[in-house]
Amino acid sequence: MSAIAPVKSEIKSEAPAFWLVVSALLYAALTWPVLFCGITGPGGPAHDETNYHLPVVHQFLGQWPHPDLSDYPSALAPGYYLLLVGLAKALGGDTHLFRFVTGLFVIGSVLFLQVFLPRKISAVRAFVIALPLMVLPIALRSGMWFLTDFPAFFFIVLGLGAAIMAPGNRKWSVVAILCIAISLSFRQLSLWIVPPIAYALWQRNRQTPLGTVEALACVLSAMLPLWWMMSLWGGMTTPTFQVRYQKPNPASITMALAYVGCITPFFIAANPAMLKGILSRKVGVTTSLVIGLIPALAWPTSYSLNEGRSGGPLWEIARHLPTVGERSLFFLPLCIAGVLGLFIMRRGARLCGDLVRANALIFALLSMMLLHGTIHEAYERYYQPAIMLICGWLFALTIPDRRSESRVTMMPILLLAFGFFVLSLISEYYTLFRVHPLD
Amino acid sequence: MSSSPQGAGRDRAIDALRGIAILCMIADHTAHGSHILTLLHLPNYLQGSSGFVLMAGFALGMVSLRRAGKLGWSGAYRKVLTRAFQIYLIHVFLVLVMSDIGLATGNIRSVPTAHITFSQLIADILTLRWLPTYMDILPMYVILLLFTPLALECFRRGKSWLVFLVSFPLYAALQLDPSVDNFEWMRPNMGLGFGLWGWQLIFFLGLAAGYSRVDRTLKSSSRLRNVALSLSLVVVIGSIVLARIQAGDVGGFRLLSPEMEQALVRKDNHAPLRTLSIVAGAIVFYLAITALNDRGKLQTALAFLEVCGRSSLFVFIGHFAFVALRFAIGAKHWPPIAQDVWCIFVVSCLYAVTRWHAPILGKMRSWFASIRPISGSSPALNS
Repeated sequence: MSAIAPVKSEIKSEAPAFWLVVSALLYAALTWPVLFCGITGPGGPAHDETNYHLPVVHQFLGQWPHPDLSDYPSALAPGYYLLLVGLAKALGGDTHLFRFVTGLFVIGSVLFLQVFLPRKISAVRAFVIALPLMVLPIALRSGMWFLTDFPAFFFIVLGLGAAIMAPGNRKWSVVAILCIAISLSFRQLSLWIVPPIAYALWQRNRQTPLGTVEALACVLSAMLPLWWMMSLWGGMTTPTFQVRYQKPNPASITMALAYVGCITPFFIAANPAMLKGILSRKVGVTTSLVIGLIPALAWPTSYSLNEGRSGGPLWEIARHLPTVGERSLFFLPLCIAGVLGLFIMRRGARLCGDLVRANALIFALLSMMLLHGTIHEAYERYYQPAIMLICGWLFALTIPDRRSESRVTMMPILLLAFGFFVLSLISEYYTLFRVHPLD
Repeated sequence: MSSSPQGAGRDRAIDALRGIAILCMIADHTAHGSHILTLLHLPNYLQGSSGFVLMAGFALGMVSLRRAGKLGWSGAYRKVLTRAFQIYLIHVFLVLVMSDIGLATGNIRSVPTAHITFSQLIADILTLRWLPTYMDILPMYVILLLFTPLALECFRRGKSWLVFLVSFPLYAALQLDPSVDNFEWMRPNMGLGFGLWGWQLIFFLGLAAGYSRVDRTLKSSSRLRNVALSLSLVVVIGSIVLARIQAGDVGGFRLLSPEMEQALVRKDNHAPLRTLSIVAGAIVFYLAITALNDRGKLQTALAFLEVCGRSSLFVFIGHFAFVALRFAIGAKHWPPIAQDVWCIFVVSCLYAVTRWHAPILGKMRSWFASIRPISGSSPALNS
């Protein structure tokens, strides 16, 4: 079995920076006008900022240099809050600084998604692949408000990219291992990157002790912040939030897979060569269909606010569609489409000789779904960015080389990005101006 | 099929099966309450400990046959008895360590409860009467090994029925009256997960299967194989369904009365449903792993399981360090996700040590050999 990324300079780091700059400018154009027009106060998308994140930072600022980490009004790990408190102390500034810094992490995530794409993808196409992530409602919201999703996600992109997409050298391994600890100290839900990164690093040097040592270092890198949290709080979250988050919710797995089912058809349509000969793979297709049925039928998937099955457009659609025995029929075709989509993309990557990377990416997706199944809330925004990231990279692996790129049409991906942007217009901008009408 | 020259002549599927069994046990002992444990035990009558004992018997039967070819039967028996003694010593060492940790942390069930003197404690450990939590499987294994030469001798003389003439009635007697195995040898409140009369049956079934190389029959495409596979599949699926009903996953519906369920699935007796399930499960998993291996699928996972399975005793002994550490740092009170990470950490460490201790020791040995000239005993200097 070939190791992950044996060839040096396989990633896009030398690619022209033009489209990277365009990405950053586009994101800034979409978010900074709102950021700098001075909107403050409660309501709408500002809910989390007002109720959780700002109070914590203000509390730590007041207690600086000895912030009390034993309990505070947020469920998240204190790493990002402490970073912002440090910045506020060094640079001065308050809410706008926090929002600005959070937005930088979104830009960083979008740029690194492009940087880690294989060199066979041209810069402009890399830009298009990154577009859906950039215009996701949660991505745009994170550039306008002080949220903590993307700072951790930035290190997820960097960690997964370094372990799976980058050339296999020790420098990238160290980056990946450090990213685990940092992303965990920002947000506990980042824990899902540990298995895929450990797997990818182990896979690279499986025949030598180095692979095992690197995989072990990954787990240790996660263990240390975890142990710290355990000794601090006696749980994974601050004591105030422990009861709320401890109940598992397998519907998250259903939702994430359904989301994959919504996304992958666009990527497959962009490179229809993936579908060639798929009908001859009867066992694979049938197995995918059967696997897709399990998360759709095995546990309740109907809309329920109390059970944590809410929060996002798909849940809203499911709410208005028929259910049988607490199972929403809406998710049935989507889950099947999700598994089938992953099967087709994995096969596409295999035909291009990138099976090991594709496996690692799908493993990452699986790990993310399983981890989110252990918390009570199945909000779509928790896994939207990760799914966009993984599907984007997976799609890039299905393109054989630069010459075959001409057979790939980016129109479906642009359409997907446009769809997300419309969603963002409705959920972010419209809400924003309704709550804070511009005089 | 072997994956390396090291494993030449070994059946990869058997090693992988042992790997699965040992990983299930590790998850149970080091991460009780984790999601990983729940996932591994979804078919919850197919437990790691049952698989471990069954496969231990199987491997011993197979290996003894091979050894007898090289060393003669008396040599093979001597090896088995030596192994029993080694395991006894390992057990005594582990119990001493675990008892110390139990007394130091107050965290191991059964250690601080018996009020006895130090000399009594030592005597009890040596006579296998003192068995803190998780420490009751090795003594059972020692006793089973002591009887193994006798069983092998019966197999050799074509009198397998003699073994099962003793084994089945003992097993049946325990199932009918659970108090018969309670001969009060161990101290009260000790770990009593493995009633000897109940567990001996799967060990000797495994031994007989290994001795007669059932794996070869299963591998060949025959009517017998198809029938065995079909029946095993029915049993495995049935036991999973029954387990989910019993767990309450389908509401208040009950197939059997609670007493009957209890009688069929008890662990300490290795109740009939457990026995049936593990034998059927071993067949299904063995054939599934063989098929995957032959098609070149899931090679990474198989390689991982193979390493764990090949050194299952080493891994089993090593995992006690983590059981102790878990008690010492209070990890047993951690929430499920943290327990998952802990479980992955434990398995990674054990894998690392198992996989690489031999090459690293080998390199150290050659390094020492290479620096020997400095000490003055170099052939070059002598010449």
